[in-house]
Amino acid sequence: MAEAATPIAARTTSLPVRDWWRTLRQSRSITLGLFMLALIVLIAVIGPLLARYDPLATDAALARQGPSEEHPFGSDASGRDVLSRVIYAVGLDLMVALVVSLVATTVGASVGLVSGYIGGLFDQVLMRGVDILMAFPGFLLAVTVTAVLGNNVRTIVLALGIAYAPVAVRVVRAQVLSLREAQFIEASRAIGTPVWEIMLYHLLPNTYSVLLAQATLFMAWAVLDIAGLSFLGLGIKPPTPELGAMTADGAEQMVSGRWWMSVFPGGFIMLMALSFTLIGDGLRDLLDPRHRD
Amino acid sequence: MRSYGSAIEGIRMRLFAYIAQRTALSLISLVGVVTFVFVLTHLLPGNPLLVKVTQASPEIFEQINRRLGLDRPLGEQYFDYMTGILHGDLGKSWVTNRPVLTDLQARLPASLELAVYGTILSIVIGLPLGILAAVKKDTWIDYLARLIGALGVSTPVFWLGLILIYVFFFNLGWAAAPLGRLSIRFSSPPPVTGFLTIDTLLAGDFEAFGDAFAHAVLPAITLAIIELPVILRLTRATMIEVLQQDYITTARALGLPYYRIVLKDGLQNSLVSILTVTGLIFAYLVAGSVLVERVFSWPGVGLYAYQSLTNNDFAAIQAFVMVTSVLYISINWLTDILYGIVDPRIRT
Repeated sequence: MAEAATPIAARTTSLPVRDWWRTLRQSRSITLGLFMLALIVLIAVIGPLLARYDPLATDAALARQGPSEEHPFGSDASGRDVLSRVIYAVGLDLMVALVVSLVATTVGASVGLVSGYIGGLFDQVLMRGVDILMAFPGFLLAVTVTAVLGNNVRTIVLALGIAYAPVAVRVVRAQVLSLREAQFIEASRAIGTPVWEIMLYHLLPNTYSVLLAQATLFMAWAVLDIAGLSFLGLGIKPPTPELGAMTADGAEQMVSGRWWMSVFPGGFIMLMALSFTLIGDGLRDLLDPRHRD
Repeated sequence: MRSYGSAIEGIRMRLFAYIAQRTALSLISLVGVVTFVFVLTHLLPGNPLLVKVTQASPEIFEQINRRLGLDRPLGEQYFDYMTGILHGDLGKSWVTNRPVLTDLQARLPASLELAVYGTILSIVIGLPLGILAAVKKDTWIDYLARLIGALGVSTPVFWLGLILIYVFFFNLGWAAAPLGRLSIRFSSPPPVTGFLTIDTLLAGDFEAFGDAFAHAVLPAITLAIIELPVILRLTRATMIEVLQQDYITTARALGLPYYRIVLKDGLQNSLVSILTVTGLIFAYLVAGSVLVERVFSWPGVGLYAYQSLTNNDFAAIQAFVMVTSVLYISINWLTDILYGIVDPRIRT
């Protein structure tokens, strides 16, 4: 018998993959979101090289000063330059959010794939577990886990990953359930393709588009939740520059009218979340089978 | 000739079975959640919360361990924990020295006040806007609504609250300082509903009412602005789907005025999904208000949770998570049941 070549995955994605760029550009939402994301990534990567001040350097004499030429975003309560801190914080938040999204997507997709394909009691029990996890509002779940396990990046990733994964499980499982009875899968089974090969080479590639849309939305949620956790003091702690923590530091100053310490970091949280939301929403709309163009 | 009696019997039986099924699932979820909270706080090596508190000496650690009964076998602890819950005993806060349940009950009306006003506001604005966007799909109104939707979902709630404080308190002086529910110079009215804005009116103390209102307005608006886009997006999506149905086209072909079709058929059929989400939002607002209450120093359940976290108040954190999850599960259960009653297709 000839050596089995890597099985060609039959594609049933509704997204025309070949001219994907043109398709993406058709969505105003995605175009705007990608543009914003590009700017943000630029800031995260190039920013630290251009930042004029050390984000950790304190200077009591310069504390609490409003936006000026030397400090376009002003200085915070310890005299640190807000702009430089924001630049570094954007990079940090972006990275942590990326890891969270990857963890949640990988774990969720694996579970959803296996559970959806195998079905039966295994699937039922697993879905009950997923329901239980989804019984917690995600942010509160993360709050509990970080409170108990301590605040460092690892627990944040774990907490948020656990909170988001069930969503990915459901998304992938739904897709798998609808594909399971398709003819090409039946054909693969008929010629004796092992189960893991069917899952990995035939089912999984057909979930990529929905997974991508979901992963992008995870990024948006992660940015907001990481900032929220840090705002409460449960996430990344000062003096490490993090957008939520900076907003918390500046919160007391708001009442006395020193707005720049919270407004700028918070604004960037919003811009980051917005870019991912726009992209994710656009992708989701494109993938909607009810979409009539 | 088919007997319709048996068909109706069938539907009624299916409804009963459906309710039974959902109730059973909810109970399983409840037990699961409670166990999960237990596992999280009891099973971890070295018991991090306790370690944080007793960093000084191992003897104090042992003492507290014994006092809280934490050195007993886990099975025993779990059993006590579960039976305690069934009797309404959720432990004592070592900060306030009162049963946690009492603490939570005292704080609940405050959070409810914000959640109710916030939800009402977001529905009043979000629902009509969503309908409008669906009807005028792909016009500038629709794009504006979608932009508002995307913006709202991406805005950090604590940042929004701070900005509102800056604009409306510091700059314009319209709202009260973010220091709680009532200025110190006012005494609380006799508690009837627990809502200060209502109780002050009922007591006839109009000055206090004005003060309570001035304190509640910003946090309520913050919550509303954050939840409004969710309702807007959902209403728009549901309405769009409904409006594409054949029976809508039929109604139009029959000559019925479009706006009446939209309001009557369209809305009726979207209402169910909207109700579901509203229930979820409400539950979220009560629970997720940690951030808003922190920003405005609003003495509700959320702030209690935050303070318990900072104080490492073991029992309080545990109870808070459990109570909010129970609330969430209950509201989910309720909306599932309502959904099943209203839409027979669900109860397959």
